[in-house]
Amino acid sequence: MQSKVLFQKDDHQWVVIGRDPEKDDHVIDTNEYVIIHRGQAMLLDPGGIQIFPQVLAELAKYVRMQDIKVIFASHQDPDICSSLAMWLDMNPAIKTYCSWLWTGFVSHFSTGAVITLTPIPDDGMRIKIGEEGPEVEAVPAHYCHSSGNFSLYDPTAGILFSGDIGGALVPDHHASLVVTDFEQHIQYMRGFHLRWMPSTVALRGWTQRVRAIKPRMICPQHGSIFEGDNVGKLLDWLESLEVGQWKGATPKSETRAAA
Amino acid sequence: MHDVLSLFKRNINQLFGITVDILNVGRSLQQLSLSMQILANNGVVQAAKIQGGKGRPMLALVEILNNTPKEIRPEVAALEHLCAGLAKVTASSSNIVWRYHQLIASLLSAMARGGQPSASHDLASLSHLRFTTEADIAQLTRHPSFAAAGALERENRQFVVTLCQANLAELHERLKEALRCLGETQQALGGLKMIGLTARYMAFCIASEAAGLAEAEANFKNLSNEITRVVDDLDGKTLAMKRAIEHGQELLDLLLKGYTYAK
Repeated sequence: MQSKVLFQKDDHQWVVIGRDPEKDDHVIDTNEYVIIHRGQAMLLDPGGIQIFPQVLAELAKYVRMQDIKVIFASHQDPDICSSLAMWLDMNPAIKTYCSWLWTGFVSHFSTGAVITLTPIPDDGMRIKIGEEGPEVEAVPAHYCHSSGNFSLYDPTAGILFSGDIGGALVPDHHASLVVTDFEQHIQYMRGFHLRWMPSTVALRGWTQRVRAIKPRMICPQHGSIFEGDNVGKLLDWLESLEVGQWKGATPKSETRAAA
Repeated sequence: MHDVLSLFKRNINQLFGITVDILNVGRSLQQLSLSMQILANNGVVQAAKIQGGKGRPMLALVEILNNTPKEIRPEVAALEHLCAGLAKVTASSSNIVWRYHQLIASLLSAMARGGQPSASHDLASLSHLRFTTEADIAQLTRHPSFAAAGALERENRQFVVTLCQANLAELHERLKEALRCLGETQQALGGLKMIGLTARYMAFCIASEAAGLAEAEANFKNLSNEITRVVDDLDGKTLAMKRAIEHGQELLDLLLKGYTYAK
């Protein structure tokens, strides 16, 4: 697993962990992010249980395990937070946030101790990094993949964690962590968005909200990171998409007859 | 490197299978007690038909037999209770060993990529470790690559080691509890065997009494044979349960010593 510091100013740091060459082929590649402020950390989409050992091993280079104070789950999927029980077993004091829609579902990832989640209301909320840290903002992204979905914006760093939006299925772990050629990168994003994003209306609503925020970097949970001009290019491309268009397969004649 | 630990984890999950085996046999005993009840009722009817007071001893015998199902039921209920306890302990052990496995994997992953080109190669010298005992964890921490990191990483590794030790200690407590549960199940099984012995003796007495009842002899001989068959069935099932318990005990003994069961 690789890790890279994305932002560093004073005591505020963003780190991305991803591109695991040891990962099983059947497990989708994910990026895990951590915001560290004055030694206290907030973990964004900590990942699936399969990759927990590698994420922990990499994260150990940046922050004391006891100083992980907050976990943010953009939505309910197993690649997002099935490792939650492990993190909470390590430190039961970690405060975990996810959409109110999924608190009862995500709790099923428990392996013993009860998982207590702080629900994020549909309109989003501000979340403190650690006890004394600055606030980040959960930005609504409902139906941009999951029906209870949030992005997370850090005004201190100007970075937006976008969850599955802007995600891509890059060919292998050698792919760059940061997008260098946007046009070339589209091929890895197109299928991902057409199939996993259910609502064009919701997606366009999200791009409008994000344009208003003006992030300087967008960090998805799969694929590569967008910075500089590529942020605008991504938003333009997302706005041009017609997603959720699957019309269904033609039923077989026997099925029609049975119906 | 932690293949043995994976097997160790699977072995703990095998306890679920053993618990289910015991529980299934226990539940089939309920059915058996119903068969015994029907036979006892049949015996009462047959004995009541015998005239001239000759049926009285037989009536007394089948009345005793009539109590057998009532004796079996609480024994089976106790077994179910014990099995439920065993399943709970097994579930808890399974969760702990799963966590423990992930934590050990984290440590090995961190040590393998410790920033030194030779770190991964060096870890080969740990390949003999099973990671199923305190001693194995201690040996891991003494390996040069464990300390080959910056201060923050070293502190984190030590933190994870402490968690591993706590998990392993908790796991051992659960496994000991499971062993106690199996011991109690074995004792409950003793009660069932005694009931079987009494019923078998009753069948023998009924057959003996039937010899003096010319007109009803065939009926009571049949009854006696049926009782013997049901008791044979009971013995077979208790034997199966005994074997399942012994297998569980053997497995737990090995796991508590840090060994695995590969059969």
